[in-house]
Amino acid sequence: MDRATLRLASAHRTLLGEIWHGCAQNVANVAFLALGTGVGLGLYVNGQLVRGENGAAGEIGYLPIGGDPLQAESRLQGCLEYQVGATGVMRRYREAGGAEVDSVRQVFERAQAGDPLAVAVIEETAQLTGLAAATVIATVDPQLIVLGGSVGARPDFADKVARVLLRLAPRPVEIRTSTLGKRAGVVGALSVALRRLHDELFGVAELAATLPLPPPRAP
Amino acid sequence: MPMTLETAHCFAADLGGTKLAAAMADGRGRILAELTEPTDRRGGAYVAEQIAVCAGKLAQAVGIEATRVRHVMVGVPGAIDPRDGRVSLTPNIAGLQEFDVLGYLRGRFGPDVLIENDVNLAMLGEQALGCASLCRNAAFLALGTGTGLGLLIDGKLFRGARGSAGEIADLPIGLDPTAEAPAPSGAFELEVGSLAIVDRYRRQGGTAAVTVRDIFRLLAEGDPVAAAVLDTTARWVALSIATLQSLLDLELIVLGGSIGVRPELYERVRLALPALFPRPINIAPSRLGDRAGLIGAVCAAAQALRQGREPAQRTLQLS
Repeated sequence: MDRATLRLASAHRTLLGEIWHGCAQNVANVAFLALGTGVGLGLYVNGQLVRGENGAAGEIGYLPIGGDPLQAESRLQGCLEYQVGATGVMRRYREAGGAEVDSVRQVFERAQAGDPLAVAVIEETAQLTGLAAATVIATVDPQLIVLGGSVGARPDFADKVARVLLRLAPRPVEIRTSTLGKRAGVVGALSVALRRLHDELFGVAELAATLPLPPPRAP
Repeated sequence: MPMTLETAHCFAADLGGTKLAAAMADGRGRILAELTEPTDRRGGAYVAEQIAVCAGKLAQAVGIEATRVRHVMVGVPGAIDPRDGRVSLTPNIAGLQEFDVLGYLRGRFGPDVLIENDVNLAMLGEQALGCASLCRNAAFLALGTGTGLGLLIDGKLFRGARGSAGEIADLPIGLDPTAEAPAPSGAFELEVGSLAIVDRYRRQGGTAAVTVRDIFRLLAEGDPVAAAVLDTTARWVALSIATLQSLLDLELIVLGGSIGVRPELYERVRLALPALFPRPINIAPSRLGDRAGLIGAVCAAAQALRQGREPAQRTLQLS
């Protein structure tokens, strides 16, 4: 057997992890919105990962949200990611007059300590994330939205996004936070490898469906 | 007489806010007769009855008993809940949400009746006979009185968890996320629907236009306000296309509907896109024009007839 490899975008892998072992088990239509260093989306539709024509589905850093999509930074980094990616959050905090910070985590810490500039920057980040999620809801009508990534999975941040969605979402949708956290990506990659191994060993070529993965079990 | 693909018939209809188009076809999907009439303004049950009457008229025109009609596909301008076939989000036809169209038509034609979102059918039409042949990941963006989107993902129609995928009237682009009040429903349609375009023309000082058609005529006569209004509209449409592309990475986005197919708008959208998205986006005007929905419905009905399975097991998938 050759060592078949399949490259998947990070948000796609993480989504598959949540579907196999995490908070999105047994849900047929899921959107996984990851916010951390960057921003990404994984879509699972009718039991299938949406990869797109060139594997670029879910590249929501390029959503025309949060700024002028025509400016150079938007074209380079993506309009949304330029604002809500980690460097974007730190930049906006600095531009608002905040002290020098090395990480988004520090911005959250300052917000908890009562720094109004940090509170405002995080609120704005939640608003833009909510707007991106509302775009996903209007377009693909998911049953569930999972928020993940180092920023997205924070319960305090997810609460803010959920509140924004009460105003912006065209239809109410259930929102959960990632339960696998940092492990979601590796669990998802494992699910892909295991599924391919199963299909190669036991699969029947004529069957349209792939074999189901073994159910999750506590280690 | 034995039922063959030539003697079995299927009936397809495309229900719009202003007109109802219907066709009778044989089992191979060849259209034998077609008609268009104004939609019954009274809506609901009257519209369902009108669809059944059209089937009778077309059966007569083709010279068959109406009982020979084996499969029926009706496109409706709204979201259809996959669980119970109920229609929602149909602002342009009165009483369609309250009336069980599917149940009524099954009572008239038997169990092999399906209803489907009209833009989804337009997408199938373009895939079967139009500009999206061989496409597996594509969208049909309909711009007219309202806005709609049909999505093809991995070769199959995609309807979403509750049948409201592609209800992009609600696309929140251009919304102010800091506003305290709940977002208005239909934010995108409020920017690019035909009422919005005429309204924008008036607000910018134009006086001579009552319909979008007037604005296209004024554009041809060199009216600068008409040109500015279409530039703005095209920019909104281009933003929605960039949004779709970043979410779904599509092979092709087809522009259709009475406004979407106009070359004056299409060209402006095409020119606006490269600045909004880092990779080229493939768009094309609908080849089937205002018949895309009806042709998609005929293809879907003929395919259902050929498959001949129980309706519950049937998926709308073109071979």
